[in-house]
Amino acid sequence: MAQVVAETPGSRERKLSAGQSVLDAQGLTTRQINQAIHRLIEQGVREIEIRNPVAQHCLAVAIKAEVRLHFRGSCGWYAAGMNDGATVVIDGNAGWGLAECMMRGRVEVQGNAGSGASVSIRGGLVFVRGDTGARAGIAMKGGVLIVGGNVGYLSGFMMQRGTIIVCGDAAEGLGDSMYEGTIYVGGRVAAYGADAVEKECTPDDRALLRRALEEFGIDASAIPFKKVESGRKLWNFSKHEPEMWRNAL
Amino acid sequence: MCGIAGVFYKGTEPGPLGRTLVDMCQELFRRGTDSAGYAVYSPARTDAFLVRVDLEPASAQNGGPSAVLEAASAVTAVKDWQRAGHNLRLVVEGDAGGKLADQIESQVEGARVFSVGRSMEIIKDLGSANEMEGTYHVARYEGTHGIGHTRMATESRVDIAHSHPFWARPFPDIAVVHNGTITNYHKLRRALEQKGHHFATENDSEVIAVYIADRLQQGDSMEEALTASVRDLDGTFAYLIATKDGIGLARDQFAMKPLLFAEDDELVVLASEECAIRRVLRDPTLVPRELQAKEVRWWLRS
Repeated sequence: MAQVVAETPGSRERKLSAGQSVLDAQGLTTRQINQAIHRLIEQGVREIEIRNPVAQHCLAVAIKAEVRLHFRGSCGWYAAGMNDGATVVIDGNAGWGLAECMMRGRVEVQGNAGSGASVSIRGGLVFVRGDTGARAGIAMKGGVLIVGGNVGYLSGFMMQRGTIIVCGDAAEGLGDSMYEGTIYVGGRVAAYGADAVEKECTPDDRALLRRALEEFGIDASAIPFKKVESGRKLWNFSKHEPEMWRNAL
Repeated sequence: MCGIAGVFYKGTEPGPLGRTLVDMCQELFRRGTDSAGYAVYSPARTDAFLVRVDLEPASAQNGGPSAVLEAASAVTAVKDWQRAGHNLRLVVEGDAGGKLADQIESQVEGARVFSVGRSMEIIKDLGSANEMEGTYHVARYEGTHGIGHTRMATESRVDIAHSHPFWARPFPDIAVVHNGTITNYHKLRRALEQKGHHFATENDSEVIAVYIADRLQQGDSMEEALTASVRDLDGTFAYLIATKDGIGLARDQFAMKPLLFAEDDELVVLASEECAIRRVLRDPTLVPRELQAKEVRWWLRS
């Protein structure tokens, strides 16, 4: 880490050289932390290390600059929500609604994420090294979600576009009622959701997985991935298949 | 929305239970401040029962503490008693075969029995965990395990009787805290009433306590009772059930309500949100884990 070049006595912020800063969040409210982050960005800081986030909610939301935020600890709910360009690294866990509605940028979680990780993102990359709770990547409209571990119930529900890569297992209801987009699963799928169809991986799929996972130190060739896509039977109502419509959520 | 929290010390010695539960419930304030409450457990007394009685202003006109003592003395020997905030805490010889609570409430208008047990005491009141602490000093309580709750009321009245934890009346030492809504409440309650159980409130969470107590009484193990509850309870729930032996939990099939836990060699802490767990964890490297849909877990002292 660069040397400290400016420090106001009693301040929680330490300016480091080359546009870097450290922010100690211990004892600060969510609003104080977020205001400090936005203020530092306005001042031209491009790398901020945030210490002691102690799993507070709504941290680093709506960041519209290409900056790097590094949380030394866990974040609570809706971390990095509505992100538009920032790279957000979380050393610990993230709570519910990680990176919800992200437009651009990268969000990396080294621990686990709660339910609703990467919900409704339109672009960017979300990486969770551990497991996620239920409903990971539901209603995704673009972007990529990579989960090193397992995903919970109803993940990929009503996905519209984008890619979900799950290296571990998936709980029941995977890909339920998905419109488009692709889910890759390396482990066991407890049960597919309505109209989610398992397919073989092509050489192109395997190349995509290898490239996507390489930077996170995961060897895709060691994982027997299968591909899940929409069967597209729910796109149009058919009175000849009442059973399928009865079972669809 | 409500916040729930739990602590279980794995050793035989009591730990700083009250402090831990209060800290967690204070951290969960965003999840509701209509009321707060705790069920705290200490090593079971072989020769006595602990009774917590809430005294409404009405009961003061009907004799207050002395009327409660008189009512209790009619069916068992009262060994000791204190005032504790707005409650009366009695130490009595027996629970009159499960009839002690009914006896006190029928004799003293406005008195409500929160709990009867050899190990458990329920302390609850309106307001936030912060406000409650000024009156009850739960943080001073040493114990083996316990559960806590901070409430945002949805399904029933905001009053003390409808606050959590709920005692599985008349079963000693069983209590529940619940986040969610039980949609087949009336059906379950009718079925349990037909088996002879009585309910003290109109709250849907009370049915979980009685349901589990009924199953345990019939010989189910904690695991069996919890697993059956995931099948039989309809709606959304993350709940913690406590008995004199420990804590069990279950989460609904849709994983609609949050619940995480962290565990090391000495203790287990559980809460609706990680920030509450972080506030009390001594080891920052411990990683709390969220429960999956339909997951059940239990920690019992054998």
